[in-house]
Amino acid sequence: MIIAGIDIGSLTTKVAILKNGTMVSHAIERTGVNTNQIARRLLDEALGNSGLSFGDIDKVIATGYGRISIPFAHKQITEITCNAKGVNHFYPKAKMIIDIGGQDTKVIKMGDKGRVENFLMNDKCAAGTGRFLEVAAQTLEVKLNDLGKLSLKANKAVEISSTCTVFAQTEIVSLVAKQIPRENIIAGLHEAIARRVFSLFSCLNPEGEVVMTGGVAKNAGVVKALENLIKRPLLIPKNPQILTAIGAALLGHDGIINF
Amino acid sequence: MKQVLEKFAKVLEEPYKWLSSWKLANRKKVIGCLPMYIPEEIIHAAGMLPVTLLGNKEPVTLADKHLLTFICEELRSSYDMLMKGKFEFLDGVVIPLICDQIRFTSDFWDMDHPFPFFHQIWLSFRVDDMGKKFLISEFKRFKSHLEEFEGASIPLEAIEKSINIYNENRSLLRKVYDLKRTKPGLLSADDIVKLVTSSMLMPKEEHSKLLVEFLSEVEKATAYTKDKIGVILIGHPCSPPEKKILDLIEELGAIILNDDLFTGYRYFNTDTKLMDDPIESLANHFLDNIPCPIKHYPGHFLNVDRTTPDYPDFVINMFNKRGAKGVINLGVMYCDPYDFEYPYLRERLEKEKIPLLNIRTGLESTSLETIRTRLGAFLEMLQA
Amino acid sequence: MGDKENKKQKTGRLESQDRLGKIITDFYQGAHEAKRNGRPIAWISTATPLELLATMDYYCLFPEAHSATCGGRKVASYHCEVSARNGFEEHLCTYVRNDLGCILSGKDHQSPVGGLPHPDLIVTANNSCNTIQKWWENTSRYLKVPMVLIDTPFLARGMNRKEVFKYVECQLLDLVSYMEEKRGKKFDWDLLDELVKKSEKTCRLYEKFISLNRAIPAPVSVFDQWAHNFPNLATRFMDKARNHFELLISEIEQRIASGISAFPEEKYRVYFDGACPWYGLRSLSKKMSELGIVPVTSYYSELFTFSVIPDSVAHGDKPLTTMVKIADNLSIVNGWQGFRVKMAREKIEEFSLDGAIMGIALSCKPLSSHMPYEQDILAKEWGVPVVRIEGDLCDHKFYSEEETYMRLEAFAEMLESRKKQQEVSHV
Repeated sequence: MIIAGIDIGSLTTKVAILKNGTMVSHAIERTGVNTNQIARRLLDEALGNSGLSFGDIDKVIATGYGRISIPFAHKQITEITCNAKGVNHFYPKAKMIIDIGGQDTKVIKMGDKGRVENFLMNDKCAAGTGRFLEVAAQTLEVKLNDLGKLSLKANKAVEISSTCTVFAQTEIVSLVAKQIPRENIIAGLHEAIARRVFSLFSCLNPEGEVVMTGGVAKNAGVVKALENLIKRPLLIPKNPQILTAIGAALLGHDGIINF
Repeated sequence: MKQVLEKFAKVLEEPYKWLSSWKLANRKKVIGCLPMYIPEEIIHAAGMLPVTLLGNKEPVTLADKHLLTFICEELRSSYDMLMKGKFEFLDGVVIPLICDQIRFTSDFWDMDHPFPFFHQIWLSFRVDDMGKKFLISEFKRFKSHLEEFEGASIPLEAIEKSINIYNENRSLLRKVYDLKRTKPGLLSADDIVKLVTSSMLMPKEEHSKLLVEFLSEVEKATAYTKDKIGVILIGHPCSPPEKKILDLIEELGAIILNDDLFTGYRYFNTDTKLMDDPIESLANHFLDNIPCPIKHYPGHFLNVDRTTPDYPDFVINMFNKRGAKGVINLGVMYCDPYDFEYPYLRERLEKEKIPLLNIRTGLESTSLETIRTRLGAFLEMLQA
Repeated sequence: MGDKENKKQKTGRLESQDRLGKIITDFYQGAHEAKRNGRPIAWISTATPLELLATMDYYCLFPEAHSATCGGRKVASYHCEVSARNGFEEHLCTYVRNDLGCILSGKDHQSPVGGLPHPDLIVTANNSCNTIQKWWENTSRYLKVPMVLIDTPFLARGMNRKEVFKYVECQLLDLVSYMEEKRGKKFDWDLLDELVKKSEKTCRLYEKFISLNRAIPAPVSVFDQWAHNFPNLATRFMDKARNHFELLISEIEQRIASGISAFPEEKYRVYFDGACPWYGLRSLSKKMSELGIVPVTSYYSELFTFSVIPDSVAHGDKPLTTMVKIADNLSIVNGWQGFRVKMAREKIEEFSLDGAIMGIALSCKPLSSHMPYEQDILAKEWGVPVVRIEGDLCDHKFYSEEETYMRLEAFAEMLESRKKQQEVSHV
């Protein structure tokens, strides 16, 4: 059985192709204006990589913010349910997920077989999300991907008091003006994000192993700051962005929603 | 059925226009009541029309002059309309001092836009005999103030009669709600909001007449049922929830088995029991009703044995009685009494293993898509 | 410009500061000691009739004052975050979030006074706000201690004062019977009488201390006044509190006589409206001193206890009557809001002030909600320059030094140009 999982996030779209429950191919690209077109192109690309074509697919499961705009999908499932399933596939022992994406942060508590027991999302602003880091990187004139590396060089994390993206930006400017080393500012930003996420995380009475997914999982600085707060190591998948798409495909494989 | 529903909806299209022309035709005074718990029956008995003032979706432009942004949307919106002159048809306003936001800003209503009649009510926060005595004195003070304004006394029999008229309206609304439950899919959650919000504006007699007509239509109609996930909806203490969110809940496969919304079941959940003194009946109706988070139960806190039920008990009870699968809380930003109760509510529901989803609504920054994802995931979770 | 404006004045630290420090340290150490000795502990809110509980030998602690202390030491943010982790939204009162966060932190709390010893009874009155009721309810649930709420109706215009009085009185009597039962002894009404008299004396001295700031230049700033409110609040029925204010007053009188002032330069005298941003005192003090803006008086200084009621001896009030009045007459907060504007106007006259600062506390409705209105009236009807600065009660994350300094500088420019304008019109 061949199943495709498509995860249309706010920043990137991901496709995973599963053959009898094993991933055979995947593809990632930035989400543009025409989500449907990009999803279809990516799907074809992933299929092509594994020598398959659209007609070979048994089911397409769409997830992510753009899930409702994919006409060729057989079923839409939220990225929360899919993410948990995907994580469970690779980390059967994990109980908690922290997912920091471009626009939002989610924390999920799982039961057996990756069943969602409870979840929380920040829904107020971009603070504590990938977007917050993007804005910070622009203000500091560094590459987004370098933030993690740079912060590890900090000798002291400066305290960022603002919890709002807009205010934090002003604060960064004033810190730069005070000639505080960039590394220390970045480390401070990472701690500010980590504290916010930690608040959300604590609300779920966390237990067991914790997996971190989403684009920000690639940022070693945020990971370190979070580990310090939750007092246990974070398990980071090699390709954290693709997990939700895999989860979607797995849910299709197992019979939708029935675990 | 749709046609009768349209009649209710018509009133809500431009409620203030409707009220202005009603007033002109009926030559009666109209008194605006800010949410919630105003004993409308006394106003009704005085021969005036009590109208609940609700905010609307119009952008707030003038309220910021005198209100800080930490005042809840509901209050900012109604104050904004006051400043925009939309309440010119009112002869007076009554304000219940039920939370800090209203308590510390309601004087500005009078200072910025004096009405011929302005009254603030302190609803006893202590639910016990002492609180009851004071509440009765407050209701009596309200009655005398209205008498002074009208220049005529309000006989107790008139209040009794008004209570009966209000009770009839409540019991009709309960009948509709029961039919919504037994014939799932026939009436939407937003239809209920329309029925309640129109009841808050129209004279109860007129509204009840329409409800009778509506009920006979609903009884005749057949429902199309589909497997739905039963949920309990709470939150939105002083304002109607947005239609698009209610629609989304239903669109994603849930059915609301019961609710505790201001513009929902809370408005008509029980009748006012008539006693010898109708003022005492009204006081009891407030005190004995839903253990709203604003109320304080001295017995509950002094003995620590928690003998009186509190708000979480009330929600748990509703959940069990209706055999629901989960509870959805539609939180309103800057609602202090509810936000202070929320951690405890969450803890209690968790103990009972009742799934709870907390959604903040009415915020410009919260997109409907985020809410769709969270509701969707929650319902997927309840099915798994 | 006259040369008197350029004259630098003498300034210096208040000697009474050390005595104040000792009173505060003794108070908290005494609390822990009382707990060890088995004395009953009560947590009460600032406008709860303290003397009633003191008569029954309860050692009374003030969670609000504790939050202020945590704010001053900048540990409140940590406690607030702990509360957020437990589901308390970030817009909720930071006094509450600090206090509950401190309780929820258990042994990891960061309270500079070692936390507050576990209470046997907690009492509050909703005269300051409804938030305090929910605060105490949550405390009661977390600590499993009995709680009493004194419901104190808002003195709206048209309110039936007689009924309000009866309502509050019977609640206080109910509290008395509860304590009698719990403590297994009769309530000593004579002792209450004695304590109330002592307290009132202390409070009148505190009022005098505040009124001495009418002097030009002002001998102290409102920041000093707020600090010295502690003995007036927590230990007011004790001899040492009265003694403290007697010494303080003579020190101030000396300062006035020798021309010692709060700041080196007093260019503008202003009214400070709002709650005290406890973490920001040093930062605000520094900038305002630099700019020569002296915060001379505030209503916050007079918010507490007997300042809000007329002389009880002159009125022949029974001590219980005084207690009822204190509980309900938190007049500035618990009544018609137009009063605050009136009061600001009066203070501006009485203390010869040039402008007003609205210190908005972003999570405090009772102390901030009136500000836009007040600012509007002061500026429009009285031509008083007003500036708003934003912060909060105790979480320093609400306060931005850069932003505040910028506003204060602009305010100084406003005051300066108004002064020049007035000089021109005088000529």
